[in-house]
Amino acid sequence: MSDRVSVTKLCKQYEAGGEARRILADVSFDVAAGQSLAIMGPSGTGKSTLLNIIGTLDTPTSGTVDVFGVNPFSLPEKQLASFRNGTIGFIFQAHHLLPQCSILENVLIPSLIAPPAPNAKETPHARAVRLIERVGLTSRMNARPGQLSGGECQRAAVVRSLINAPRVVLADEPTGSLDRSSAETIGTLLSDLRREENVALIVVTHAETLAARMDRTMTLRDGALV
Amino acid sequence: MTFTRLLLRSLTYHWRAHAGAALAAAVGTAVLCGALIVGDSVRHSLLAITSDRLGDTQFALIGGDRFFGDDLAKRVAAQPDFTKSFSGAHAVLLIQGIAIHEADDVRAYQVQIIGTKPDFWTIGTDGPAEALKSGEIAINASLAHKLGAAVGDAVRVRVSKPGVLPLDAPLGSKADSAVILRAKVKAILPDKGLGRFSLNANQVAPYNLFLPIEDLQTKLTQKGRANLLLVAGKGAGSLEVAQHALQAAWTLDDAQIRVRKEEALGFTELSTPRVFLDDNFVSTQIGSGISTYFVNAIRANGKETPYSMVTAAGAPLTDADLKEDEIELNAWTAEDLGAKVGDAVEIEYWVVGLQRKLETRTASFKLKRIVPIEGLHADRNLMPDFPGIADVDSTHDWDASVPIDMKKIRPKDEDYWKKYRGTPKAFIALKRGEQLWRNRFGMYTALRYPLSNPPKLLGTALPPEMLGIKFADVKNAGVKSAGEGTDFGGLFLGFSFFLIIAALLLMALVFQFGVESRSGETGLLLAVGFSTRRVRTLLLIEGVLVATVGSALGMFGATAYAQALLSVLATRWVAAVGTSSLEYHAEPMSLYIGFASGIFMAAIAIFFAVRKQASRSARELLAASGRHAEPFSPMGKIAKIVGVVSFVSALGAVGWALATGNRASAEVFFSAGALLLIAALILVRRLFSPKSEAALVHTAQGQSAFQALLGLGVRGASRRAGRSTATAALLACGTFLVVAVGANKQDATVNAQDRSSGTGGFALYAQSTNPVYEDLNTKKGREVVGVPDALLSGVTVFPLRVKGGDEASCLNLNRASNPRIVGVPKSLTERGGFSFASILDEKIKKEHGWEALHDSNSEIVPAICDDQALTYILNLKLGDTLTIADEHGAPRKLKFVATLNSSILQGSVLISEESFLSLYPSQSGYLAFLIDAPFEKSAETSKGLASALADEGFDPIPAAERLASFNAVENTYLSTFQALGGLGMLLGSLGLGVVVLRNMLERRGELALLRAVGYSRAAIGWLVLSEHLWLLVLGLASGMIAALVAVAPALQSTAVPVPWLSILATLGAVFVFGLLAALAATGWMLRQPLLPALRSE
Repeated sequence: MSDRVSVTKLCKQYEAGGEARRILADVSFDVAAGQSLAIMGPSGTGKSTLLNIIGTLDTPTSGTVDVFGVNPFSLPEKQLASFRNGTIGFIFQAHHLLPQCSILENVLIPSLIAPPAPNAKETPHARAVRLIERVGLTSRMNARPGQLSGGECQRAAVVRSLINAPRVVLADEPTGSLDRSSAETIGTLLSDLRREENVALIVVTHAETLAARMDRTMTLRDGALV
Repeated sequence: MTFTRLLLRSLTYHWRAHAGAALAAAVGTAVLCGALIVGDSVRHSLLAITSDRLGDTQFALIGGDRFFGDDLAKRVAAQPDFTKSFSGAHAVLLIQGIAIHEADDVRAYQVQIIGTKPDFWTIGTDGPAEALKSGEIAINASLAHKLGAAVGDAVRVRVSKPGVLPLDAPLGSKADSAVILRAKVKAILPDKGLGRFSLNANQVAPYNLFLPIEDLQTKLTQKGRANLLLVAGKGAGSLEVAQHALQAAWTLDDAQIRVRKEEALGFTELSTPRVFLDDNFVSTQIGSGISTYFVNAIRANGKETPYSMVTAAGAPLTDADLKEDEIELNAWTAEDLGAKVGDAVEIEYWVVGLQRKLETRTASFKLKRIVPIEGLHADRNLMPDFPGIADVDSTHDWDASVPIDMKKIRPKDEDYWKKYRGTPKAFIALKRGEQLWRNRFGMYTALRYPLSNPPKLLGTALPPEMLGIKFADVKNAGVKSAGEGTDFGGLFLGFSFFLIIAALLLMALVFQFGVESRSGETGLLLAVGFSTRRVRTLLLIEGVLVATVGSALGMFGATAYAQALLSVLATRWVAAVGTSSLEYHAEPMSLYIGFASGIFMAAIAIFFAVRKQASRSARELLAASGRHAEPFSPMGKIAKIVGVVSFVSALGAVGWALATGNRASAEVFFSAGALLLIAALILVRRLFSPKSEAALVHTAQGQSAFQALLGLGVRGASRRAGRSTATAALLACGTFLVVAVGANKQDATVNAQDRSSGTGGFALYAQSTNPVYEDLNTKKGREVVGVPDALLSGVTVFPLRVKGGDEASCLNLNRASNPRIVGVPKSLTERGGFSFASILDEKIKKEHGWEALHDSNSEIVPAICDDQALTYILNLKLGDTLTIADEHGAPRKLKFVATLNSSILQGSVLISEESFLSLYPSQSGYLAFLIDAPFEKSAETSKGLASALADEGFDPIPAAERLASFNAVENTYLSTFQALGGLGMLLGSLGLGVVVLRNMLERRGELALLRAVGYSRAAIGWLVLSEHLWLLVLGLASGMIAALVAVAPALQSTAVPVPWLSILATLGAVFVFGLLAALAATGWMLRQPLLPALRSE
């Protein structure tokens, strides 16, 4: 089994107004477990599309994506959803915490559909509590998202992305809507947690400071890596 | 964290949105369940009426014109098995009559005159407080209301005295045998309990007049007789036990069979005061038949003996070798005629045809033998009890129903009468007699047995079934009729369809709106690995829980809705039910079905609402949090073609109708209207195309800010062309249905003079309480009834024979298990009239549909019925058969060979008069009449006939009025649909507010931008409002224009005014409601901070 995320000659194009528009062109790279990669580039160059394809939220026009030895696009929809649940963690620019649930409950949502892990060292609840403590939100664990600041919500979103012990975490502009201080906190957390959890971390960002915390940085321009 | 907790969190957090959806679901369930409760209530009320009108009566022995001893009840009740099973048997004398309020001369026809014994009141409730004494009557509230009578008032009761011999029979009783009884109203009984006693299943209370049975027996000269036996019990006894008890108690006297034993003459004889022995009875006997007939004359050698009895019989009354063309005269007659053996003898006699037309016939014989007036030939009892003849001492006192020329009766004839009475003067062979004067009432006037071989039935009970006397299971039949009656649950579900759909759409809209506003949440769940199915299931469960709460709330609403409907049904819509005796009743099963259906339907609506949302990709949902522009999809070529074809077809249909003068064809104009609606909706869709937008914007250029905003708003409707078209289309369809259905009420006066119309082209329809026997189309017949010949000049009366039964029309909510049968004369077939909906035999053209009645070569009787009544009242279809009991209780099959469109003949099963008489030979006279009169003299004709035949209870009404009474039911249903459809539209217009909210939420960034560039809140409000007003106006206008075309025939009619006020009020309310909903939604959105939306954009 592979120990990395490998993207090979990935292409993506859309039909718009009867014309084909190329978003990604022959993009290839890989990220090993425990490594991190920042993808930068101007707006509209396909960064988020690339992340969505790796996260199986979108499909490539051509090329392959190998996530730790699995070609996710060969999986039927149900297995693909299960794969995403167990292998990939998402962090978005907006935290997308459910306003009706507490922070702890929000964090546990991905674990709701995760198959039971008999050999797991800890229960999802214990893991959630530990990770919440790890990001400094223990005192806000039972608060609702509406009672937290944007930075706190995003920290909770980071924890949520890790709850099922994924192999890879995909973060799309995770600090895009945060103030500098909060962005710093999130950057640090992502970097540290990537090591602690031994996950491959791919971050799409405009923030130089965040990119600097990653092992590698790639730039996309007009859909191609430069 | 569990799924349940997640669900609960979502439910509680989004409670406001859910409350809206739950309320809409509550409305849907309330309407649905309420409709079912209305069905339960009507069914329950019909069952209660059945229980009222029958009391504890389980079985009834209906004698009709057969009268048995009124002590039969006691004899039956004394049978050992009977007492174990039943609480009692009760003799009643029931006859139709006329009640007249003496002070005001107000009349009520078709009154049930019910002679009872005090024990009658034990079978039910609400009887008089004190037993009725002689000269006292009790009337029910309906009759009291009709007469305007109060306790203490004097009432005259006019009834037809039943003859021993049916009036249509040869030498039947005289027609003018009515008797009048004067009595004082002792009590007015409510229209419940036994006050509405009736054996017919109908929710309309009959006119009932109760009096002591002895008073009625005396007046009818039926001392000690009754014609109805009721068996009461609590359901423990079986029909077999009752019938067995009847058989054990039944006597020859009950069967009106007399036994005469003549030791000297050596025979035992069975005869009947009804003159003719019933053929069924005869068929079981082995005695020798005798038939004595009244002849006008016996002629020979140019001489004539007038008015004599002639007996047809076998040996020993006649010579064993008497041939069919031979005759024997008694010595007196032979001498009178100077006849000797071998001479030619002729007899002249009458046979009674339809409408008592006497046909004179003759028969020729050769004199075989002259017999002395002694022994068997001197038996004056051979003459049956011909009414008016047999019971008088002198020929001068003869009072027969046939026109006897008294001048012909000579003194010697009078002497013969005094000496020998009706001793037959001639004897012929039995077979010949059968050929000459067999009639539908029977053939034999007596059966004789040698003393050595008496009739087997003597000394034992005579099986009453032989005479068609058997108990009918009236209780179970009544319960069945009520239980299988008009399904008001289904009917009101149909009427409430629009309301239910509106509630469900509103619920789906509100729920979808809530789900769409949570698209980020949905996207996240998908992103973290929830499958589409799981997300959809989660949302669906959430929705179903909301719907469950809503449906539970709706159960309370259902009660209120049903009670409101019942209240309106008992008052404003009473024409649809014909009774105000409707009681609220809800069956647990209906509540369960209503509750479950409410949830189920809501779940389906929610399923469609969430399906689209959950099928969007996580990326899409997360990226835009549900905000996305609907790409404009240009209208397809097929849609354009459909639009053009629909428009051209609509114009073509209208043009054709105008060109052919077919301006009243509702079908053509309705089709044209529907086609125009399709064209209009396609045009509306086209208005939302970019090209149309540009045109609208162009027109707005250079105009005021108000107009510019209006233009911009109108253009906004194109942003969501599909949603905008759907909104306008819903309003258009609702408007079309409400206007088209509301205005398309039936008008009985349209083409009333047309023979193919529902009146059949008849000016008048009449019913008579007592039978009319005379032919009103002949001078003689008019003379007899006292109608001036000139009055009926140019008038033709088509008399109908009627066998009473259940009303088989929309006026009866019960299932007509024992429908009224009407015999249609051949003359109506020749005249034609009415229009046929369908005819079984394709060879018969619709204009000759009546011929189907005579198209029978089998035992099955061809029948015609109203098309709707056949389906909905009898629950049958064309070609089906209905088994009924004939006069003798034998099952006979009627086959429906044709159906009529709505007409004044609704309510009855029509068969040919010939078939009618074969089924009910004893039914004499006519009880219903179709009167073909010049319409300009219909009022005069009506008045004249009513006056001349007042004693018969002849009650003519304009045929159009009768048709209108049937149409009133349908028109009330249309009003109901219009009212409930209008309510549905009002509810649907609330949906416009939800659409406004959804549109604004999706475009809040855009609206925020407008605020940012300086638009005031009012300007933005007007912008949003104008867009939705545009949809409202487009929808209402499209529907209205199409509906106006559809109802063009109704607009031309003057008799049934189009209910413009209610239609316009409904549409006005929809407009105002829609406007208010849009205003409220706009106002709410404008109060939300818009600028943050701009930032998030």
